[in-house]
Amino acid sequence: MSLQPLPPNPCLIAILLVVRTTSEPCIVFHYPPRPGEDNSPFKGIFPKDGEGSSTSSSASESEDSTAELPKLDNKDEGQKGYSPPDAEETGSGSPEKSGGLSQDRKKLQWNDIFGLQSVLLAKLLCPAANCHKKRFEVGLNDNVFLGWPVFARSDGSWKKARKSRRSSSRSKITAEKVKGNPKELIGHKLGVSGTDDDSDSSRPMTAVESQAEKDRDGEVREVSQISETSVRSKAKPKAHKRFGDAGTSAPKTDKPLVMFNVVFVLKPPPLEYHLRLREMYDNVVKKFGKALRWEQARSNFVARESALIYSLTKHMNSSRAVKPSLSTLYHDLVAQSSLAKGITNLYNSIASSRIAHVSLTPFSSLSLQIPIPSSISTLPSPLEPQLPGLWLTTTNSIPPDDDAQSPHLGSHFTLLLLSDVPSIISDLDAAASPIAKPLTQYLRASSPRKSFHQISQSSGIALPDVQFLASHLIYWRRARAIPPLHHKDIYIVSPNADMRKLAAASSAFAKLFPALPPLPKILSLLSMGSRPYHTLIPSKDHKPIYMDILAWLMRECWVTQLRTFAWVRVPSHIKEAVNKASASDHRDKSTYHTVTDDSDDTSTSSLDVPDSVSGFRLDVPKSNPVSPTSSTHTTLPFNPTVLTQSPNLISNPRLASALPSRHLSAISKHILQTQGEESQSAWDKCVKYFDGKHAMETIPVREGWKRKKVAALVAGWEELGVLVRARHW
Amino acid sequence: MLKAIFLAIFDVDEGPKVLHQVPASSINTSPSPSTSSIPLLHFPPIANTLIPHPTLCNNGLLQLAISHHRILSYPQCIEHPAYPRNAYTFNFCLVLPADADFTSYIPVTRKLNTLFRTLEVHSHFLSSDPSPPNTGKVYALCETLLEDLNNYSEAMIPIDASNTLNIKLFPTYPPPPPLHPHHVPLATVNLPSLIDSNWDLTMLLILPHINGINSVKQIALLADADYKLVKKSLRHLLYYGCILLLDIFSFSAIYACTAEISHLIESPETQQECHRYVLLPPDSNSNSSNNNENTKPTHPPTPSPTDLPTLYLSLRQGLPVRAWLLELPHLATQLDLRRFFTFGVIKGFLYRVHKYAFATKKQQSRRMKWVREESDSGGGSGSGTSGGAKGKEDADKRRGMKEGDRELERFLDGTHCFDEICTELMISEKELGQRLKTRGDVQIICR
Repeated sequence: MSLQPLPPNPCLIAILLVVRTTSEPCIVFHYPPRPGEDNSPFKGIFPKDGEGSSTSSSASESEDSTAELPKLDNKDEGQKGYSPPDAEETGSGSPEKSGGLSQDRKKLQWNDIFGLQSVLLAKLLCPAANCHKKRFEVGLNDNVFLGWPVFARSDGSWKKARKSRRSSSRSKITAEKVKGNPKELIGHKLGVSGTDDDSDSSRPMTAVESQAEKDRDGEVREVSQISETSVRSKAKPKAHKRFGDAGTSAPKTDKPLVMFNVVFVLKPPPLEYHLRLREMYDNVVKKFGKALRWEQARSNFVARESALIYSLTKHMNSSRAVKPSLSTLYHDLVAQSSLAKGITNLYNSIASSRIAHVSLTPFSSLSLQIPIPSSISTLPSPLEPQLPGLWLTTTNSIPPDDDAQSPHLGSHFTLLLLSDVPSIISDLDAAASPIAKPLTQYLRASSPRKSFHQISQSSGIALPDVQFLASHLIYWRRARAIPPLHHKDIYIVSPNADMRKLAAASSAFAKLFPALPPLPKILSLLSMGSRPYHTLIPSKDHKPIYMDILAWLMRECWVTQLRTFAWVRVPSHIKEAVNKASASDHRDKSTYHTVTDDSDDTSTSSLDVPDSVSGFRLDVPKSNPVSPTSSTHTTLPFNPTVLTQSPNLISNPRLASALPSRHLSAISKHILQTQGEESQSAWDKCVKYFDGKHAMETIPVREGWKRKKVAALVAGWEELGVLVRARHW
Repeated sequence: MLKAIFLAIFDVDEGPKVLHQVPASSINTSPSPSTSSIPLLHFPPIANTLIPHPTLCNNGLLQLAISHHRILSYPQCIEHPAYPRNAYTFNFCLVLPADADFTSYIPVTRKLNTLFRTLEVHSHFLSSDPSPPNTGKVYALCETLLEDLNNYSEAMIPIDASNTLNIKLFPTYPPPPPLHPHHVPLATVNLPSLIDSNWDLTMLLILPHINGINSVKQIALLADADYKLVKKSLRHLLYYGCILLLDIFSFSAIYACTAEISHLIESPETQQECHRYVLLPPDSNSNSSNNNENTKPTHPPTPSPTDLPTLYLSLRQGLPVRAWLLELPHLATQLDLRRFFTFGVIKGFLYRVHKYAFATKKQQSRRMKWVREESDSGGGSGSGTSGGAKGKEDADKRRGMKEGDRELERFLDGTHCFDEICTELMISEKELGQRLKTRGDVQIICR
């Protein structure tokens, strides 16, 4: 069976911004504030963090933060012999530390996520330089960290931005009127803060900041090297401590940015691992990374913003300052940093399968989304994942053979708006889109009952423009392309309708369409059988409102159009006639050859059809439908003469091979004899639609005929036994 | 398919390094990335990830996708004063293609690493192994493991006198879909041939009744087994793909074509397959089949494979099988109709149009009416025409109906199909239709 789309599931649990200056990598920003614990946005949900009480015991807490490096399952081990001795001393000596609660609380440093210190995580998420612009994927248990790291080039194209960055970052901060104390910020930047020196033990972050400030880049690198080895051996507690310190101090505002990596943390179901990661990577991770890279190259954006975020979050790591609650912090961050705002936006939208609008700078904005399926063509079996409430149709999977545009935007389609026009227009006005004006004009002219072609003619908007505007609306999930609704078409209750929503939908329906039959009644009428929609409409006056109902039903996916598809059927007498004709034309020997030709190799018959598609399996239209191999398996012995005369279907009349095309011309002649010239010419025009892929409902539009005429013709042909019709979606 | 297994350790002098690797030279450990394409991986850039900070050790799976390969690892760090720098860090890593399904290798990685952790803790198995890189028993073990897992998907490797490494790869399947009492399981394999002595008793009880005709509930009744256990057993079979789920076949059911019907029309193989499956053995000697008591050998010729699509195409929404059959009466003698429909459903070109009932008004007023009527009839005691006994029977019946109605009520929210209601209430569809009619205010929706 065909591959079914799966329900949208972004599996996104966090987005982290990892940057690396010349010293250590560091997670500058992450969203949501407590990833993995709480997926909801931050607004006022974090009173449980105990942020308020942290000020009272802040001194011991920050000491713990250095001491508690090995803190997961081997915590007791670490306490026994391998934690830094000085930390242990203070730890045991500190009365506030006695309770396990305070330890636990301490672990929840604002930037420690997934129970890991952000320093360690940042190290893990900072790949080697050979990962530049490559997919970065690291898994920790069920969490997968997916990124697209970008490194500064060796010639340092970002270096020239370094000078301007300082000024720009500061000017940006002043321009945006930073809420936090700008003095402190600047003081920190220049490394002249007096408090730094005396806070060596109690304020790990600032302590090493100051140290790192004093050391120039080379020395810092040395420190980090020492710390790396020491960490691995766990034998040098002092270096251990320094390691932790050096790491947290990473985003020096006066050091050039070397790498940044926006890491998306996913928790995919094991069986959908590759699918979900690919979706996220292709649609979001890579595109966002590229946008950031461009902005960084243009205006040093990432470096600037990470410096800003760092300056705003710095006080969270210090012990002295009164720590605001996480929600206040994030509120400030989002208000002041456009990158933080962008990431927040991105997370909130992508995690709920919506389109994310991210504007990084006033000049650049981008929209990202993981596309969601708008329709399915096959009904999922009970064994497959169910997608109730998705539009069931094959209109979108038709090969575009005569419409040059994308299949569903052919001129014979139209748009079904998924929300009402006023709301779309008001959104347009809010977004100040450059195409707002033509869009508004189009929206006013749009109707689900008129094709693009008709709308274009009535409104005076050129057809390509109409299609462009339509595709725009489709991309933004505001509309869906459908064949125009018509009261003579057949609509059935969609087998994929979400029955669980029936109760809610029927009350919504009753509000929208009062004084009309309730929704269950309408659906019940629609399920009586395959009847045209107009049989439901009680009177002519009711027609507009009933067409509105139909549009509503289509939009909510309660119904789907039952479309008619046809195949050419070759009746026995035609076959017989053709056989006789060929027998008289050819010698006996050649008849034999024809038969073998047809049974062996019908798809690429070399006789007179030069354009037969080699890849397409055209096995049906042959005189002897039993191929030699399959006949050995059949339980019933077949009489070949009976077989050649039993009627069969021609699957693709356009590309019919030798024998089927002889059959087709014989049928055409037969129609001429029985129904006259008009019918024959119509047949010759229409036969290309009888391949089971073109809906008969489109013939009147394509050929510009009246529906009645087509219906009469088709009925006539069906009576002749040369046409087989099937109805499906 | 495993590409390589390697053991990375933290060397006190050299830092992270690859101690053993299978196949040899699959990991490039030199500081400069090699130009040749033979090694799978370049180790130094990922060394710090695979031998991470102790916090990240003993912390579960650590996997890494790099240059078209995926490394599954489970870093272990044993802290003990006996070691230089007081700790020993190692990590057995499995290398797979990046896009391969790796879920079944996760337990392997875990087991390999935790086993060696235990061995190391107890007997310094790894740290005291003097063999140089790519020799010795650990290397041999990795070698055997790689070969066995790739060739046999399992391995049993003795390590020492008391330890053996037993590993088997288990594929991961999606969780089975929800199973409802009205689902009809159909075996896709010859289940009785798979039975062994360890099979569950309920499973053995229900196996004879899985025939594509009985619904889950019927199976439970026929096998005289607890429904919950039956459901559990069937879900097991479902999980391993041994059964399919069909619908209850009846002559009042409606079937219609899906878009997949074009596949049948365009594929003579499918037509042949269908023909073999649905056709009854040619007349007279067909006592064994179900539907031919009234076989008439003089009927129109049996449908050929090319006729079958036309037959399927003549099905449509709103047309029950019974009515369809009236148009083509001879078919019942030539085709196994149940197979005719199940073939379509299995192949996906046919779908069952289910009926749903939705109560537009709550039953409350209705029930009151029932109660009132009942009290009326009780007060009137028989209403003349029938005897007292008959009246009592009526009342009983009515009470039963009322009970049934109350039960029925919860199925009238539009989410339960007729099959389900009938199975749950153990009534026929005809009776259900009558009950719904007497109840009133019910819309029947075919979906």
